[in-house]
Amino acid sequence: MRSRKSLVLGALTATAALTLAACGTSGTSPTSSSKSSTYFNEGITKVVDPSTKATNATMTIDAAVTPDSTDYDNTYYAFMWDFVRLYSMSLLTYKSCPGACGEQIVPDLATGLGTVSDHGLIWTYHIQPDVKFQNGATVTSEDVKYGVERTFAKNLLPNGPTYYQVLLNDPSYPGPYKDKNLMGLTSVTTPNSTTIQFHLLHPFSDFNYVVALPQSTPVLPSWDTGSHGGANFQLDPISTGPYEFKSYTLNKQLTLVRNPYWKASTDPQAKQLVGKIVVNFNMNQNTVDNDQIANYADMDLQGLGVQTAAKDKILSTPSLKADADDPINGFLRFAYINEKVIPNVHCREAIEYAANKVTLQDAYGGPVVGGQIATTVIPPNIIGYNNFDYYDAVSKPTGDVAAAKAQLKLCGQPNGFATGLAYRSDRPTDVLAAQALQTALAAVGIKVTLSGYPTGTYYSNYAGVPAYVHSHDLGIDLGGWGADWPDGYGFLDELSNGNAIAPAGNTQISEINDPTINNLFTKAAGSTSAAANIPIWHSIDEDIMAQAAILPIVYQKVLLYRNPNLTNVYMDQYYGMYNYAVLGLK
Amino acid sequence: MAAPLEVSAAEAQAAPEEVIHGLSGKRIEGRSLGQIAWMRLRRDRVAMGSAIFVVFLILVAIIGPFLVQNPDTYHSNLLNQTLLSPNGSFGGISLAHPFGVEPQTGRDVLSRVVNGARYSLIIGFLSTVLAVVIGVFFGLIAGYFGGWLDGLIARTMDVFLAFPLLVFAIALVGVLPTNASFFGLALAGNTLRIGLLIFIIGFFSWPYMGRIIRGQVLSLREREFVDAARSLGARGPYILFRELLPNLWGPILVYATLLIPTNILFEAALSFLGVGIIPPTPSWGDMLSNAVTNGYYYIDPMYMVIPGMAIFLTVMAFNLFGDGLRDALDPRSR
Repeated sequence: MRSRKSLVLGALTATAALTLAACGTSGTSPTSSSKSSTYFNEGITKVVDPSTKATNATMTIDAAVTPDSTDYDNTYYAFMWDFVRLYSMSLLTYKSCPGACGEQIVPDLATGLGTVSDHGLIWTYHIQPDVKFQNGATVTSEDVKYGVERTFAKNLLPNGPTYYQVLLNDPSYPGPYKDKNLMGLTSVTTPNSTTIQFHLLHPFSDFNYVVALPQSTPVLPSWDTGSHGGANFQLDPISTGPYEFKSYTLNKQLTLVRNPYWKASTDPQAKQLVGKIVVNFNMNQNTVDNDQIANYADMDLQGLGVQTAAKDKILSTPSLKADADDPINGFLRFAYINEKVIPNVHCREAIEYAANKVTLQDAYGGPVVGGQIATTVIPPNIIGYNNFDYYDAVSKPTGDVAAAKAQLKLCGQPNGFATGLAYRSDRPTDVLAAQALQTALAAVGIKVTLSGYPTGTYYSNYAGVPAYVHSHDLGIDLGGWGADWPDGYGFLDELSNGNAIAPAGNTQISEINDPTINNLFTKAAGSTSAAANIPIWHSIDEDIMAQAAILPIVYQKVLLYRNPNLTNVYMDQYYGMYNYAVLGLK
Repeated sequence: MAAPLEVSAAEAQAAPEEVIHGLSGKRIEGRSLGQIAWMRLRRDRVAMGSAIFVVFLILVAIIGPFLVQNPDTYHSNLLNQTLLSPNGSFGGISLAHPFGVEPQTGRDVLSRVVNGARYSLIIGFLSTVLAVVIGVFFGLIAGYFGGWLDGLIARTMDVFLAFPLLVFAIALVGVLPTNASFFGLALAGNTLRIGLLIFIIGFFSWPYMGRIIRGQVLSLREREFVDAARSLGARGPYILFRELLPNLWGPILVYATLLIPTNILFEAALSFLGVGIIPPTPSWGDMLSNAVTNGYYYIDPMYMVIPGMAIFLTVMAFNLFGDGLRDALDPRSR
């Protein structure tokens, strides 16, 4: 899934931040002085202020961005996947608990994990019989099927993942809006009102992770019509979760209130502890930061952490620091090294050795709040992580010039070579990283020409178009990646599977097409147990690093602030931010 | 006895010597307009101070980069590991780094400011030259020929002046290619970008010059010496470039000097918005932009002050010098 930074307005809004920051600092924080004994990073390993107290108070959430959609079938942002659980129940979900425990998938609407039959081609789920929509209607398996059908209507709902289209065996289904004959998706069947079966094209052992995405949320077909149907469904999506939409002004303000038909007994992974939740979208990030510290807001929705000004304030004030966490959030910042533009493995290895990991780490914010120097493709909190360091990134963090020169000799380019580097010129961290890499590589004679592109079209028109990459000699391309689900497949497939190379919008920019790796993916898909796949993820990660197709830079860290007013706060390892489904107020 | 025609000798003798020596200690001579202007300029202390600063700046831009350290060297060890702000006070000012170091990278600020001066001045000067050449040419034609030609050029200038220049420049820099070749001269990366900036800034600031020249020509073309030249059979180009142009050097010089700071600011604005000079090549506008977008203004205000002062002093010096020059060349406009 993608991470998101509020850079759309970039420099222009930043000037406004100067004045707004001044407003925020004048506010006082009534609770931070009278606080209990919380401590820095407490929220990473345990639930801070656990409580079951319900109040009618209002919880305020600020966001520096606008959501791609508030429709659970049409969103691909981590923070929205976290947030939609407040008004939806998918078949499966992630367990609400801190640490690695939070990466387990557990039944949500379903009564158990899927059962496989027909040689891995049919996945069957049974759903709870007594879950109700916000209008009192009982949820049936046909409503779940309708939700899945909606995800095929890419013309109206373009943003969500496309796993069902890829995995199910009728990929040409046009979606329920064009298919006048409802219930037309033949690859999903509902033998009775509590059973749903998915018929796959090929075996796919990670299918439980697919239905743990918000796209398996039930949708009442009669609700998805008229003024809140289709693309407008996001203005009032029917709720099965603890809250429901009261009002939503698109991309400005959303108000959630309690869903009277929700029962804690059927949805143990979520809580209904506050009377009202108000979300303010499209704010300035510095305002969001200051609002939290000044207690005008309880949470930052985006979950990418606070900006420099607030970082300074939080880290230098012990009482504020005790209410902050700086977790590794599961995103990898890295550079693709294109195997078509730089075909010789030794030349690519020279780049791995020569890169100065310290200046690169500083570009992403430094060791404390930016990220930890990465040596592998899979980050530490993903199932399949394997701790190894082929290029001495940890022991020689400023780069190994001698080893790089030795690799250049083996490559037949003892004096170095020239190549291009693509980066997103409107992302300050990418700009700094590009310069840091350019400077470090110049020390061994690799002459790098920087080419900046806008974020919005980076993958669709430039770095994600192999033909463009080849013709512009873009041997190095900066990128970032977070997994759709926390195992090796969710992380590695789009980065290294040969069949993931796309003519545009490509995220496999290294263009690895290695039969060994491709076979390992096929083998993993056919396996029946997630544990059996772990050694496969280890080998793929090692293969990618051995052919120097990716230069890992940092496992990203973010500085998150938890308002002391909140209860049940903890860092959810899967979403890489606080778990929004269980929050309460003191 | 002298010949009757040797008047000058007779005049010199006729002049009372005590008057000559008493007044200035040397012979009174007719002064050219240029000499008078230079004299006035020399008396204007503000203008002379600005001129000295401008000369200093040009020297810095030419030889400075050879004297300071490499602007691309990272000094991660000089940064605080938590926030990556420079260790020490005022942005890490020290003997080795008199202006401190950049947050997050530790690059020397002095060397980046000095290198930035070079690019600011190159772009400021060359774009002004381009604007002057185009502006003077079209201003002369419009003012001298009048009629439909004047109408056409004047309306074109109006269009250019009404153009949302900044928005257009951002869009243009964004869509143009990153490498290209002109007349067999292959350009890529920053060289191409600098060429583009010069072209865009120069191409859009010529109407200011054009209007002023047109106005001057409108009054000059009615003067006797133009009539005289015309009655002697001189044709358009001769009158334009041999009769009118020499009389326009004053305003051209003044407005060119005033255009340079405008163009330097424009380059800084484009670099601030991320469409100017490509990093890591230093630029004042880019430094200011980093200070704002990366939040350095909060952890290291000095990093914002230094390029800000560089832009401020440069623009002010050019403006004050231009004002002084105008006063000297055309005292009536005071």
